[in-house]
Amino acid sequence: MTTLDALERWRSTGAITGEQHAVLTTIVRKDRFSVFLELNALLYLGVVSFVAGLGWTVYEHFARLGDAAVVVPLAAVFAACLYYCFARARPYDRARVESPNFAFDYVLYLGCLVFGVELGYIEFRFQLLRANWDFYLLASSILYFALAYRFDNRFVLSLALSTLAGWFGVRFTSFGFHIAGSLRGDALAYAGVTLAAGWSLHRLSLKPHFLETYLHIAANAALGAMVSGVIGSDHRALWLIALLAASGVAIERGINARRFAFVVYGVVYGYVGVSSQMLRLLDSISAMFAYFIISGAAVLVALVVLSRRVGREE
Amino acid sequence: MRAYRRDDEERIRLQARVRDWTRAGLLDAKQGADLDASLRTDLRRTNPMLRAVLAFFTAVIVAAAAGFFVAFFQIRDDLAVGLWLGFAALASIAAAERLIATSRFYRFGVEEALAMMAVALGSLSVMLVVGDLWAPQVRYDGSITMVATVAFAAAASLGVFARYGLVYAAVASMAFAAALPFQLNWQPWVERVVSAIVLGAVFGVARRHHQRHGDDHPGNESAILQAVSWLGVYLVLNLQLTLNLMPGMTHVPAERWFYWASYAVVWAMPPLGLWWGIRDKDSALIAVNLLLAIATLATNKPYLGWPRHSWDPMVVGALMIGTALLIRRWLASAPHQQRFGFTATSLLEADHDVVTALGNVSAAWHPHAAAPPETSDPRFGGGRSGGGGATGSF
Repeated sequence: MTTLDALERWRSTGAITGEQHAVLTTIVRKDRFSVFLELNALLYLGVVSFVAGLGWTVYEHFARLGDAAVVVPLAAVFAACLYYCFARARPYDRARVESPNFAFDYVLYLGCLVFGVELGYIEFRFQLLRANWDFYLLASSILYFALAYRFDNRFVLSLALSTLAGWFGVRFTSFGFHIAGSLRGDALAYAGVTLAAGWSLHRLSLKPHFLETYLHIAANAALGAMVSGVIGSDHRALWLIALLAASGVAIERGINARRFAFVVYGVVYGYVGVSSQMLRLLDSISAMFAYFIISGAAVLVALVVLSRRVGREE
Repeated sequence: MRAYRRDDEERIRLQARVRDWTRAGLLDAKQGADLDASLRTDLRRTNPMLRAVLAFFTAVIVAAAAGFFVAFFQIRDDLAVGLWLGFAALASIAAAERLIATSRFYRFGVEEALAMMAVALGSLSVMLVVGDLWAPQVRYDGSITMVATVAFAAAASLGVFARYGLVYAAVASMAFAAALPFQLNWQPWVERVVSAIVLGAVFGVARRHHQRHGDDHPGNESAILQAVSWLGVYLVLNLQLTLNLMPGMTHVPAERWFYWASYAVVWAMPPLGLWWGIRDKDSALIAVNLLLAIATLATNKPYLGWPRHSWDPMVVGALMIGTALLIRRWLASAPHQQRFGFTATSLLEADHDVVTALGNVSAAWHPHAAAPPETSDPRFGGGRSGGGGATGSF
């Protein structure tokens, strides 16, 4: 049975209208064929490639070009991008706002990336903040957040979150706040702030569709830090308890919200943490293999039951 | 031959389309639910995320079970280990068959991992057995052993595809088949030509199949195989990609005529593939050939031996941006925003899902400064700022 046969049958039985049949047939026959994804991919890769080349060029040639020849064009590109976005943007709304045109999101993204290059250059050349240079990261992150929320742009939101992660890493290094000399404390603090910010903004109904981006990043940062603690710290038991609790929350919330990526995070990070401890206790290869058979089977059975109860796709 | 009824797989494919149409508002919710219900099968499927993790744990169990037997009974002999792995492979495929027959699993993660682990265990088995029996002097890097292993992996993966319809098994089979000439110690250019011919033959078969069936099942599978085999031919023949991605590789042809012939092919393939993709309105072929076009531009200077400039990525980026905007504008300016059946507007909600996912995962590769400045060297000594562009090496 081809799709066209099925459409014909559904029309004759009245399951779909003649008008719907015509529209769907047009799509199935590819009389109307969308290249939306291909053009978006081309635009995204183009922006990333352009900014990579820009950064490389500044790095290679700034001495010959001079400060003004670097700063002014970069500032002009950033300003032009911002002007374009403010001139073309739809009115602000707390809910989702569609982009006014195809290129709009990428223009803002380009502007933000160019701003990052420029800020890096300015601090390198003029060292205005010296030891506190990391506040550039914080400031640019805040700017990116503001722009992401104003223009409903998920690319810029991701940029803001990754820049904020960079700031946490640098700031905590200068505070000497690292737990056991690692980045775990930074990652946990970052995850906590990200989670709290995402949740608060969601509660305030400010772009609530952004919440999932925050949650994915916070979950991976927190669980990754805890697994690292279980494997490499002096307080493995405490880290393991924390990891199991966090994994449990991720699994429970994931099931409730039917967001199975979080179930996967909880299961995989939790399993890695527990296994790393169990393998320390086992002294033979046979026992290790037996552990993987038994534990893997237990997880598998639980996942199959879960899949049958809540993860059906039939 | 196939473990599933064709009618069931056609229904599943149709069901996916009905869901897409309902999400796009082309069917109302009640129509979508009714049609969805009418297309149900007795096959058990699960969410893609759970499918992935189920496959992972199944693979862990199978690998551990195979290893446990060897470790527990302290089997040291290669032949004995090889025979045991062969038995384990058979047991694994039998378990997959059993699960499909009794539990009706379909893309559930478990049954497909069992099938692919059977390929992996079987290939290891062939390597050990052939290495022990026929090539004791040259063991694992011997031509006979590797030829037998790679040939078995190709045939077994193809068998898994034929039986269960797993497209990635067919892709694996294709990759193993393309790798086979490289095990035969032929001249490097002969290896590449034969490998390209193998992939080209796959492309021809898949293309013919896709043209006959269109995007309905099983034509949707051959559409992917067609695009991947085309990509494979390109990867085998683009010598600069090999040199850049695998700098230590010694099997790079030294013949000048082959070098320049491959240069011509590398330039010819993207436009030809794009033409076919556009003519047939084939998304996979269009996407692959756009990638190939970018790869061709990126490897052009190394091919010609010209120096690279820091602004090259800017030029390529600007070219991509300009091309996308021009095409978009050209399509949008036509009546109904459509020319020759092409439109730049999204028809299905799934398109937006992909762009949203790209926005989310892009957080993983945004560069950001992670190190404080170390020096006042006039060069860009330490990373400073910016989520974009600025890095620690800046």
